[in-house]
Amino acid sequence: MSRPRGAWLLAALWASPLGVPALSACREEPGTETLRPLSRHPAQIDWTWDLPPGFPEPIVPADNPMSAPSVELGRHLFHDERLSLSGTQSCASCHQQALAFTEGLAHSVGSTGQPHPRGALSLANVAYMGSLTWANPVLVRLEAQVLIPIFGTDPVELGWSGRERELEERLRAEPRYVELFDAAYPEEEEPIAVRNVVRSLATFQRTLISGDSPVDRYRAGDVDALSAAARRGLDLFESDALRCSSCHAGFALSDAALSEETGDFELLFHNTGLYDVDGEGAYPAGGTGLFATSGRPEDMGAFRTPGLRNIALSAPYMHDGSVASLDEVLDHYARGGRLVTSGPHAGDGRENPFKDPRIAGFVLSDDDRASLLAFFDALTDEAFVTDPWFGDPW
Amino acid sequence: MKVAAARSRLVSARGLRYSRPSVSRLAPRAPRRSFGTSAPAAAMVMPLALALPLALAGCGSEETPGAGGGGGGPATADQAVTIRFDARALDRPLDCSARYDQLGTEPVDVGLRDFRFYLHAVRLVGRDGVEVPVALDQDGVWQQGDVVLLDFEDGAGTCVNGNPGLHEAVTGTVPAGDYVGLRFKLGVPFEVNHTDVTASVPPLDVTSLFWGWGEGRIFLSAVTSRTTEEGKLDLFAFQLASTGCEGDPRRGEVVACSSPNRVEVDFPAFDLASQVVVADLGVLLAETPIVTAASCMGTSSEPSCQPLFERIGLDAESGAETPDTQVFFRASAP
Repeated sequence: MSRPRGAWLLAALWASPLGVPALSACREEPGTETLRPLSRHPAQIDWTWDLPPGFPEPIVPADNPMSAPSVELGRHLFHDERLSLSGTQSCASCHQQALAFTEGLAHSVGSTGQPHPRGALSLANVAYMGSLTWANPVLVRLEAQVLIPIFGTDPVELGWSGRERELEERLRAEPRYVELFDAAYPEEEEPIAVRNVVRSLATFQRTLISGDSPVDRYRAGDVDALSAAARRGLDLFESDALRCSSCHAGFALSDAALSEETGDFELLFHNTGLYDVDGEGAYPAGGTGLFATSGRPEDMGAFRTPGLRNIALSAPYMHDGSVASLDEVLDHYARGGRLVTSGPHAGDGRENPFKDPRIAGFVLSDDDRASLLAFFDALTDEAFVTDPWFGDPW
Repeated sequence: MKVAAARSRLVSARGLRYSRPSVSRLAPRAPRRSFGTSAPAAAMVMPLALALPLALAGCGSEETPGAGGGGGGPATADQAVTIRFDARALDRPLDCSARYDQLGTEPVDVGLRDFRFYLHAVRLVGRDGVEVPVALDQDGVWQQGDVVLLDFEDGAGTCVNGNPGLHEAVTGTVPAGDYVGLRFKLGVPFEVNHTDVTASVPPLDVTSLFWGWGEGRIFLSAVTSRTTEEGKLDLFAFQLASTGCEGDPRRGEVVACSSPNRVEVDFPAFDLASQVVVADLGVLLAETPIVTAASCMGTSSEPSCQPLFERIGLDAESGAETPDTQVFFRASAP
């Protein structure tokens, strides 16, 4: 099993009615004399990651350390529809565990009915993402991203802009939250505060680590974990002819991932030739990628490389959900860019001048295609999408 | 100690109509002053004068360089200053409960939804041409360090998601002297602009003035609302923020912005006793067809941004300051 087992054990101990039997194992951290002695809460117990083979430790901000109670609080908040102003939506409404925390839609719909320009992105291994959402070099920590669904007005998602005190009042009315916040942030006089909503949602999301797919088990030495077709698909995926793994690289299958062990790192965004609506490389308005924030012409259509675990569960594909199936994804890359033949987005993405030169096209036999699809299927981590530790606690 | 300080701030915060969160992680600061009631601007001129210890300006100023440095030597007498701001729609005062038909390029019936902006680096210029920083009163709500939030919406009428409090004047102290000019910057300094809104002290804790996608504050929020013929709510929003920002994923921080979009405003002749600074929504929107134009929010590339940027003194394309085109603020009789 490859999940942060040790941490969850702590969560279980904390949640037990017998109190906190593990306290004798606590030790004081040097230089943290402002923290209270560990007399009643396990929040300061050192967090231990129990990671899948080959997974390095994620970067955790110093001002939001991992702790079992914080994760458990975050899980409650994540699955609580009271986290929308209207009481109709939780984070999990759009980030559904069974779909690897996606929704199966090209456009999610916020709690007021306003459609979102994007569908819910998978949260698998989000702890490792150097930047969050599809093409935003500003959002470099989960604590910053969490604010968008809670407070965003364009579009409205959970609807709390300017109403943070109301949110806190609502949470205070739930007795379980009084206990959960107190356990997670015991050093604070008034722990039920929006900043701790944000912090705990971030710590919960950092535990959403997926690395127990058949492909992972195969790589860890279980040669029977993959079918012959999936093994062949893996070889093709990593081949010089296809070059998929030059961007879908490393343990996270994304060159946008970093960890405590990463050396030099640069945020990378790529144009894969999905569109060329004006013959000069433009992507459709509202979906111009990194260009929207940088204004640099060469950033047109550049998006972050998503990780690929559970990819068979996270259709539709690409930033705008404009590719319905993995079969069509292969068509797009095999052609070296997509041809849109009609409509307002017509144009040949293959000729996009800003396209990453590695998207050069390739030829697939029917057998190759079937092998690649078998490989994609073998990236599904059944434990991840069914694990009750990530599920609805209410 | 730490816990006790946090509690006392929380208790005092509850006295405010527009209560703000206690922020136990940050250093203690000046006690809150209860002027959350929507008093008219004139009533908010507070005779602080010598009663305000200079040391007050230092509270929390490690976060906000540049504040309170103008005290000079210990022997210098300080004088209180109040710089009044008026929010107008051309010849009318801005009010959440009023209707307007002269905003934008065509007559259309609209209400106000939001009108707030942040200023920092407020300075007075002496007759000798020397500028001195105004050490802002640290009121725990609107003014902190070098930053002040001016708020002209009272949460009533069409100002949905607003708050009852108003803040229509900058108050502080300067060394006693003869001042003839006023300078300030529209916006929030970089050093505090990209901090966590949920863990910040007022006035940087306002979630409705935080632009999540850009991870920074909205410097100016000017929003009108109207009801369409189909009965739908239709907003036109100009929300100015730093753009082109980039973060460092290892540090989890924003490190630079290619278009800071802060604006230096300079009134070489400004009489504190007889003049106010008018912030005019009518002038701002004079070239904008607010029914058909796309909102200009957190971007400068939207075509609708061009005249709006120009009127606050920025070039939308380059992000450069263009002081000669700044007409949004003007010095005027009250």
